[in-house]
Amino acid sequence: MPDGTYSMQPTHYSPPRTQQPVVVLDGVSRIFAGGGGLSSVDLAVSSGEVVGVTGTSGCGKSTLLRLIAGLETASSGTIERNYNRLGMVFQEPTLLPWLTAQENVELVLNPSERPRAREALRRVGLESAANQYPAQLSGGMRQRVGIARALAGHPDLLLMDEPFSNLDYLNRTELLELVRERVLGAGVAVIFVSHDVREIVQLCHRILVIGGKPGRVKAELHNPALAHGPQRRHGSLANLEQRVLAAIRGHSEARCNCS
Amino acid sequence: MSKRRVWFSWPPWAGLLGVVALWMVAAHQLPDAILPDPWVVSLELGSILLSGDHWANTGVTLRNVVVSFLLSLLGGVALGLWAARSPTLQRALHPVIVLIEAAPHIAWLVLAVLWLGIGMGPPVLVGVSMALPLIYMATSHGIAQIDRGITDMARLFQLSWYKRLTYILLPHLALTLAGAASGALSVSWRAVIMAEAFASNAGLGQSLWGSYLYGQVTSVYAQVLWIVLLGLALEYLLINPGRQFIERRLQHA
Repeated sequence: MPDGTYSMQPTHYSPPRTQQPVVVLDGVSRIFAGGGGLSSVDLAVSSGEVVGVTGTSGCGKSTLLRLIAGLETASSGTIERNYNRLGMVFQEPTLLPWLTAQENVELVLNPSERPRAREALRRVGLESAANQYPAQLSGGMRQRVGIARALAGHPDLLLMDEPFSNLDYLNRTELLELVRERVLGAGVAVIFVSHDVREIVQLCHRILVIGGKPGRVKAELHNPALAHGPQRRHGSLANLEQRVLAAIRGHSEARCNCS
Repeated sequence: MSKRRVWFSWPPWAGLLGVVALWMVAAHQLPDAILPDPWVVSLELGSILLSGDHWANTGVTLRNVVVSFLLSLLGGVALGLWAARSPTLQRALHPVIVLIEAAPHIAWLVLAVLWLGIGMGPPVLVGVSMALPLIYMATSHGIAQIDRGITDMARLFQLSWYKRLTYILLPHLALTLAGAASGALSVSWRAVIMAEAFASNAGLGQSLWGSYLYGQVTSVYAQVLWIVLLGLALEYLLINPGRQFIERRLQHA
């Protein structure tokens, strides 16, 4: 369990606790040779909840997503998966260069679901580029295709692994807005990994700070600010951002040996 | 490079004309029993081609080359895909492939005659022994180059094996394989003709060796010329257009 130093009480914007979580991690560890990885992570994420994961580089944020996605096997602990369908937005768009944007989205769908590809592209503002190849798209547009692909299958759980980290400021801001307006709040459980604290506090109901080697959950903060109007929200988010940074710094100065 | 440029650029033709010019000069200095004049050889080739036997031999050789090439392609790709499933299997197969590659043509030929007798078998087996390792290596190399993010994406979205094969593996392999297939066809061509000389009742290799044994020097040169022309035709009419087709299909990659 987290240290609790920065814990706040959940607000009514967090999903109801009575609802069965879509994914539950119980004491999950994944230790790599050299001591990196993750240790003893407990986490439950419910429908509609957006959980942010942040921390210093190399402390196991992406490993957490890979464990949940089944791309890594846990060394110990259990992962209970209660979702029907999983979507993931990768750090790189991971598009096939010989398929058009629409074909890349259709690739992950069953034949009967193919019309959803167009709808997903419209949702991320890329309908007009549906027939273009990845090489003909900008970095931001390629990442939008990756988001459309993740959403097209109507997932119960969406994993986002630093989806904006390779984009310039303008694209990052645009995509952040797009995700906030068109992806979140649709009843999908989201786990959003980023080293950018500002992104995390703007999007997530709950924030886990991971640190150490192997990584552990060092702090868990709730974010009631998402419920406030723009005036109050700004101050609350700035305050939360400082506390998340303090959690990361406090840990990284005192205990984290991560690069 | 466009198709037009491949066909009409002058350097390849200049290179070929240079070889013919050198041949003409050398032929004037040497006796006909060693190097006949290219014009005489061309006339001999014309008369050989007018006889039905040579076309039959050409057909036999082309059949042997195509069979050995296709077996190499299918076997090499299948082995490469199979080995890609397990690093242990890949490590186990590596020395076997190196062993196949390291044995000289003649060793395979003798073994093939022992196992299969005289006929179509030895040329095809020798062709396969030379071409299959190239295809296998290209397949393994191509698979190793597939981005980990793409394989993660395929696993995460639970793509079927058919989708993985047709949308990810084969397009990734196509470019590497196009180059390897060119080399494999060329190797098959040479290996099959060599094997036919000693272990077949028909084919261009057997015909060439027969002419040599009967001391028909002009015929030997005419047949060598025919073999070279066919090899060039294979390269420029089949392999190059095939490679360009694949590159065009994957132009966005």
